[in-house]
Amino acid sequence: MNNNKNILEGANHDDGMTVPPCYFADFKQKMAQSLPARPELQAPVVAPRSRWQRLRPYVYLAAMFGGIWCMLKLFTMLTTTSATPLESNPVIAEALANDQFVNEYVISDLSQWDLYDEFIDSGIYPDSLCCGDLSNL
Amino acid sequence: MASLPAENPELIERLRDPATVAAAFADVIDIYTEPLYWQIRRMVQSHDDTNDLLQNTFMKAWQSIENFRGDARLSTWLYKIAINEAITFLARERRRANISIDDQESALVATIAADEYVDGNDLAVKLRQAVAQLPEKQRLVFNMKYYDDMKYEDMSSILGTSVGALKASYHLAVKKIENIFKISD
Repeated sequence: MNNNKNILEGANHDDGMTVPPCYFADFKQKMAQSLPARPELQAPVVAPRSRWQRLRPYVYLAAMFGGIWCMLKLFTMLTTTSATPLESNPVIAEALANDQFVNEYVISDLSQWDLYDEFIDSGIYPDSLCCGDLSNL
Repeated sequence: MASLPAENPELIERLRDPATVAAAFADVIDIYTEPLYWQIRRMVQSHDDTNDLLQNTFMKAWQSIENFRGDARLSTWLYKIAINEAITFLARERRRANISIDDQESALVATIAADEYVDGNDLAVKLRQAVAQLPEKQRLVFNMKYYDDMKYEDMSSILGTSVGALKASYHLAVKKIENIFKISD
């Protein structure tokens, strides 16, 4: 047993193997040179961005808001009635300025009571009228 | 024939950086060529086979360098690749020659006897021949412990075996070597 243990001690952790002269130096050199290129390991090269590429997101954003504004405008025009007063309509304004039109189409719609009230408001009393007896109205 | 090379954090950082990975890997080759060579050579015995397997080891490491994230030690990772290469080679040789594991052990003993790259230490050659007759796992454990003086913890991380099992394996290997020498006497 002791003899066998002495074998392990006697070998002194030496395996007795050698390599050809300059083997390791040559191997290291050849191995490092023979490694295939790995371009995928390299960091991707980022090309400088053009002015249009830099502005494009903002242009698209502005176009989007412009589109939204146009849509809202269109919906408003379709859904709301015209709030413009009649007097602002040039055709109606011209017609109202015409006394004959007013007399024939506006005042003719007045009842006699309205006309009576109009006279009273204007300081014209039935008694002062020569024609007819309006007090019986 | 030192133990595992000391871990170099700066080298790990350079391996992670795409700009410096190629140069860093050349340093890895520089540091690990010798320890990996001896580890493989003690398994396959032939210098020429070892040379091929060592090239394969570094090539595989280079091809999958992006998979090395630094979770494990660099040396552990490289040793695992090298040992897998050696074991795969031995299995492939067995299939190719259509021989059993026992026959392969005899073939390894013959390879050692015919090895031209030896320093003339007969005792060392005899010990190599005895080690070559051990089962593959015990041979690995014995090589790492006896020749490389590797810590059991390091061996455990490389071989994926518990420290207790490795100690038992080494003890068995020593006993078997003693028996082999007894029989040869």
